[in-house]
Formats: sequence, C-alpha cells, structure tokens
Amino acid sequence: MLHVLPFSSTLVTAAFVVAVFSRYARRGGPHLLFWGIGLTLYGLGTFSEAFLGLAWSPFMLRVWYICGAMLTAAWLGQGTMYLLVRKPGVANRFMLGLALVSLAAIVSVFLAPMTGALYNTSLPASVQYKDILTRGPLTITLTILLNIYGTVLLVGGALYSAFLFWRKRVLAHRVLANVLIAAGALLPASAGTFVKLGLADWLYLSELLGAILMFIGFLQATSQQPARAPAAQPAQS
Amino acid sequence: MNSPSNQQRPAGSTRVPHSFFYDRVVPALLVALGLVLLIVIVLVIGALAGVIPVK
Repeated sequence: MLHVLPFSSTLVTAAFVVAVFSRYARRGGPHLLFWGIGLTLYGLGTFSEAFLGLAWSPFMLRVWYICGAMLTAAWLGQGTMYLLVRKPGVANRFMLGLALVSLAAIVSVFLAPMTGALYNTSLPASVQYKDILTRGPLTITLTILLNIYGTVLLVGGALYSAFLFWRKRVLAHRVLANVLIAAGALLPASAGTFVKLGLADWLYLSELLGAILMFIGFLQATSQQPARAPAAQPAQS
Repeated sequence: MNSPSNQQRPAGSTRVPHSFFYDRVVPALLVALGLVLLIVIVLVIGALAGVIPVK
C-alpha cells in the first residue's frame, strides 16, 4: 500500500492537471493557471513520494519536501486569490511575493545539508525525512507560513464561495462542488499538520482522498447544468 | 474553486427549492469544515509559536 497510494494519487492528480489546463486553454483566467501549477506541484510531491518508496534519491527527497510540504497549498491558494480578489493588482502583488518566497524556499531546501542517515524505503518519507534533511529555521518557518497562506486561501475561499451560492439559493451544484473542494483540500492540509505532530500514518491516504474529492468538486463546478429557461447562461468559473 | 463574488443570479436560473439537505445539512457541513480549518490553523500557529511540540 505504501507504493500504491502515492502512485494512485499521482495518476488522479495528473488527470486533474490535464482537466484544469484544458479548461485554461479554452477559457483563460489566471486562477486556472495557478490551480494547474499548484496541482502539478501536488503531483510532483506524490510522485516523488512514490519514487522514494522504491528507491533512495537525495534529489527526490528535496523535490518531495519542496513540492509536497512547502509549495502546493500556497500555489493552489494563489489561484483562489485570483478568482476572489477582483481589485486590480492585489493578486499580482501577492503572486510576486509568493514567487520570491517560493524561490527562497527552493534554495533553502537545496542548500540544506543531508545528515547521511540511512533511508528506509519501506517507511514513509514523512516519518524519516527529519533525520536525513537538516532544515534550518528559515526552511521550517517558510513551510509553516506557506501552508497557512495556501490553506486559508484555498479552503477559506471554497467555503466562502459555497456560502455565497448557498445564501443566494442559486447554482446548487456549485455549493456542493465548493464543499467537496474545501473538504478535499483540508484532508492533506490536516494530514500535514498531523505529520508535524508525529502522526504520519494516514498522510498517503489523505493525499489520495484529497485529490479525488477536489477533482470531483472541480468537475462538478465546471459541469454544464441543464438550462432552466431559454435565456439561461452558464456562470463563470 | 469558483466564485460567486461578482455574479448576479444567472438569467433564467431558479432558486434552489427548500429541502432538508440544502437548508440543514449544507450549512452544517460549511460550519464543520470551517471549524476544521480553524483547528488546523491553530495547530500550525501553535507549532510555529512553540506551544505545541513539533517532533
């Protein structure tokens, strides 16, 4: 199961990436671009996790930490910021800040020394990386800040959207879609917190379930509902 | 992943009819997920502040 779950997550995420970028190619919109980037990072994180279950690679451990632990939530959340914050320039300024912080995160992880401790491929990377990768205070702080930023934006944005649709009593499929997206995003986010607290066991399962729920939510949100009247128009997404 | 922020009700769409699921279950889900989000943030900030020990 240790290998199957991350590979399954990678496959689901790859299909999700294709769906999001296809929609971006058809309709444009920076939110789709950033969700696509965030999901690509998600997929890279789960793929490196799967790889590390088969063979040891210092490079893949760094990729796993950068993509899986640091950047994914923040870049997904940045997509939500582009969707929700309509004031000109605000999302762009945050995006610039995120790009700089992400660059600092990548550099800090690739400069972090490896201790030389043996990697056990039969154990999840999340339970042993701290013995191998020496993270400085900057890396740890950036990890926490990036995850808070991304989780608040992604989950909070989905819940906010669901609430507005629900209050207006319109587009019920989008209420459900946003609930699924919020729940899907919370699963790996909370698992990451549990890993930080030493409870790493269900990280892989939560990543897979999270990807599935978000994908279903995205498909639900972007599905064309039957028009109720000749003048009905699909809402933007 | 989609926003109603700048949207008016789409032309021709009708209001969602009253139902137990829509009127009771959905808001309960939203509140529950909001609480989980709050707990996750508190745990992360607690770990950052050193209140909660990080292994």
